[in-house]
Amino acid sequence: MTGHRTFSASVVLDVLAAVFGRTLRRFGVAASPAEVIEVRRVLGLLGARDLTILRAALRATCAKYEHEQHGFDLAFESMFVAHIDSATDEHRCSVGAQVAGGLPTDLDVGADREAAKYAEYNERAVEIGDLLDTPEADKGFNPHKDDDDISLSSEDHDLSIDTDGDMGRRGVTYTVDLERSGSTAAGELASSTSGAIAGQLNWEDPASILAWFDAYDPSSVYGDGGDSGPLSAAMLDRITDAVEEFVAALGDLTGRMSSPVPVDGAAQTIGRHAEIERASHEVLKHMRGTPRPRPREHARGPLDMRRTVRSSLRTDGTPFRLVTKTPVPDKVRLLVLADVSLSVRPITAFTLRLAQAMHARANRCTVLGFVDSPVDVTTTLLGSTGDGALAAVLADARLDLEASSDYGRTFADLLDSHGEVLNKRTAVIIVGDGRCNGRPPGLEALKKIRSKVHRIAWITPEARRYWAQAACSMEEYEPFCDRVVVARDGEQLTAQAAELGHALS
Amino acid sequence: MTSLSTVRSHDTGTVRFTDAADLQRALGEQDYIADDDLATVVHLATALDRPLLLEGPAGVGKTELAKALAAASGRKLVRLQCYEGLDDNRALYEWDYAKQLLHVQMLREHIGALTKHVTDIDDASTMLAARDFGLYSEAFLSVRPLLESVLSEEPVVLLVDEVDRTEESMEALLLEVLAEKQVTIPEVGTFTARSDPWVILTSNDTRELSSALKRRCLHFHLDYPTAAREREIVTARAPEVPTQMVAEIVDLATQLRELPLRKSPSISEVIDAARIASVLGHTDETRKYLLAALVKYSSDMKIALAGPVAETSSVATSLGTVVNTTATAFRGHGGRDKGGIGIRR
Repeated sequence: MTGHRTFSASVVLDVLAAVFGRTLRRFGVAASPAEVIEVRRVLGLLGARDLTILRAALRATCAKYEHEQHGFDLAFESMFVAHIDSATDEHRCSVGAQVAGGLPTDLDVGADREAAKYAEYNERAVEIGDLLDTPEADKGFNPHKDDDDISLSSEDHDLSIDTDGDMGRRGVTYTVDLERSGSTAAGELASSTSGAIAGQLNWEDPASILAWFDAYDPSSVYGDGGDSGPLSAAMLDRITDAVEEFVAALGDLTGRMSSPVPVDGAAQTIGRHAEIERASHEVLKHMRGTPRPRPREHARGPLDMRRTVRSSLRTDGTPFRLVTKTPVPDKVRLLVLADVSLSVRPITAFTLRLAQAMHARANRCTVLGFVDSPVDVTTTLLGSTGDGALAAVLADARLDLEASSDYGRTFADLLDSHGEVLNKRTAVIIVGDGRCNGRPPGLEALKKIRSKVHRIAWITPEARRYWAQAACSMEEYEPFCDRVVVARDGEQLTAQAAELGHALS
Repeated sequence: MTSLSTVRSHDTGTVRFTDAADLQRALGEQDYIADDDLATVVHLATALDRPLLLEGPAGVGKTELAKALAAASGRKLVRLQCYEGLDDNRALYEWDYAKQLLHVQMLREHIGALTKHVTDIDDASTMLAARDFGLYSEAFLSVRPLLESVLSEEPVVLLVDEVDRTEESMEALLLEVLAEKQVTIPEVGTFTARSDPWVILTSNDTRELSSALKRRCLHFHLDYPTAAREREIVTARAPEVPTQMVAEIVDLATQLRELPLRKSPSISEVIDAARIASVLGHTDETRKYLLAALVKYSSDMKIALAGPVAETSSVATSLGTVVNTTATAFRGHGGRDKGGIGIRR
């Protein structure tokens, strides 16, 4: 962006795209610079006349994974569909801006409710641009100004926002009044040949803001000292920061988002779900299925005589093409064995979510829940994607949630009644704390399971130092597992995803 | 949106679309009913020259979109059907050894004549090596879809179908073609696209695609259509079926999709069912034939018969009962593939 010598209106779209990219990343959507460039092209192509179309287009450009969809929606809404409802009105606070070099460096949203200083302005409005002492007479007076106005008078950098105007009288609107006289320098008298350009921008109508941005020539506003030359890179950076902060501040006012990390409970849950989704994605990305022989040319492995002869017949043996049976990783097949007993209740949601996420991603995945014996809950989990599925699993009549966990019996039952899911192509993930509560740990059964399946990994919520306790058999189980991972949430699992994936390959 | 008419460029005879509505109308003429979002994204893909990755369950019209787009824009459709074990010989190009061999054999006499006066074998070898027999030229290339789309003078729509079935190595190969729109053949050189191909990739989501590929494409998740849109689609594809009957069949399909089936009825199956209904009539007796078109697994058939076909009061109750019966939980056990339990959908 710094390469622009001539500063055109399209830079506004550049800034908008950059800010949107940053907002997306805040919400956990991994938008790459290349995608931000795409966003810029989309904005240029479509504009924001129709927000549903813009949303679909930007979604296609940026949000490419299921877990990114919600974050994208939030980011899109905070950027483009910022509407204010009266319920959040009391959180509104005054906005003050520092102005330097013709640009606000920083928009601070504070509790400064000092009254306005100028008589001809609404007395309940707070001045932002009072750092500049242009004569009051030069200021454009807007007789139509409503109570709830943000008033931008660009030639003297005045920005005022009413803080406690009457709210809810007819719904609150934020209106930005922009008035520009023909002069390019701050404080200079407007030349009489050009009329003042006045427009109204309303937050309820973001399309018109974008349209206005399109038509606007920003250099005349920001070019201070009478010089309407190109905007410097530093100023551009400040615009980006300022717009982003403004969006954040606006989001705060509208109760959507404010801090880099969404703080309200719902957003946290979204974060957690996305985290688990990401973790299982990472694990599966590093996982390879059992190698199966596949016919390949130019590869290693034992010779496939039939195919070699057949392929060489066509050219009469010249050239002679060797076809080998190359071991190629099969699609991933998983068996998730999830402990849902009382002792691991705090992480049950994590366990089941993980199983669900794995199920949605792996080619084949069976999920068995257990307390004292394994129960196939694949169908129940498969039924829906929300929290309802988790509740349904726990409500399953076959699961005795009051019993204490019995790993020995579970492993034995698994061998007896679910033998068909244990085969050499299946990787097993056991999620549980390995506490047998004094019952036999069933090491023999686990050993037998290990000999039947491809790989076994264990995800336990308990740190290694607790494994030595009497009720816990984790230390005895460990030799039979290809990998034991300590993780209580998605983040911890993501950190070890590569190791877990490789161990299961 | 502006109401500009479709721009037809004179030299190629193909179409560029001015906006999404225009594209939607053109697709509509090909009996492909696209909703606004899809039309926007497809238009973007053509306007920005980006590959478009369509994901979604089988039978929602992903492949059909590419066909309709090719027909609507007057472009040639080049299709690369992906499968496990697809390699660059099948996707890019292959030297036609047999043809080269024949060529050399035909030239044998001339080569003999040429080297007759040379006695030293080293000299003969040097002499032949210095000559170009044209063996490695475009004439001896067996052109496969990816190279074809690059070489084609006529603009094309390149459809890379079911890209999730290939291995990751194939994705890497695709990246090069998609990003640079060029193919390098060591013996000949680099071919740059002669016309900008529009690329559509489809995936049934059976495997997570690499993020490098996803990030290079526009992405759209195509799902089952709404009932109204599905009625529109069925009416467009099977105009002989009465409207009332179409509505009934679509309702039935919608109810079936709510059930935990191994494979939900796809749009093409709904069209088939509508055709069956128009021939046999839609009564309780003929319903099992309709289901035969909509439901393809015996385990699913059991659920379907317990569900909407049993004329239960609502879908919600039938769903509830179905999920909780042990028959459902253990359905299909004993078969080789365990009746689909555990297959991701």
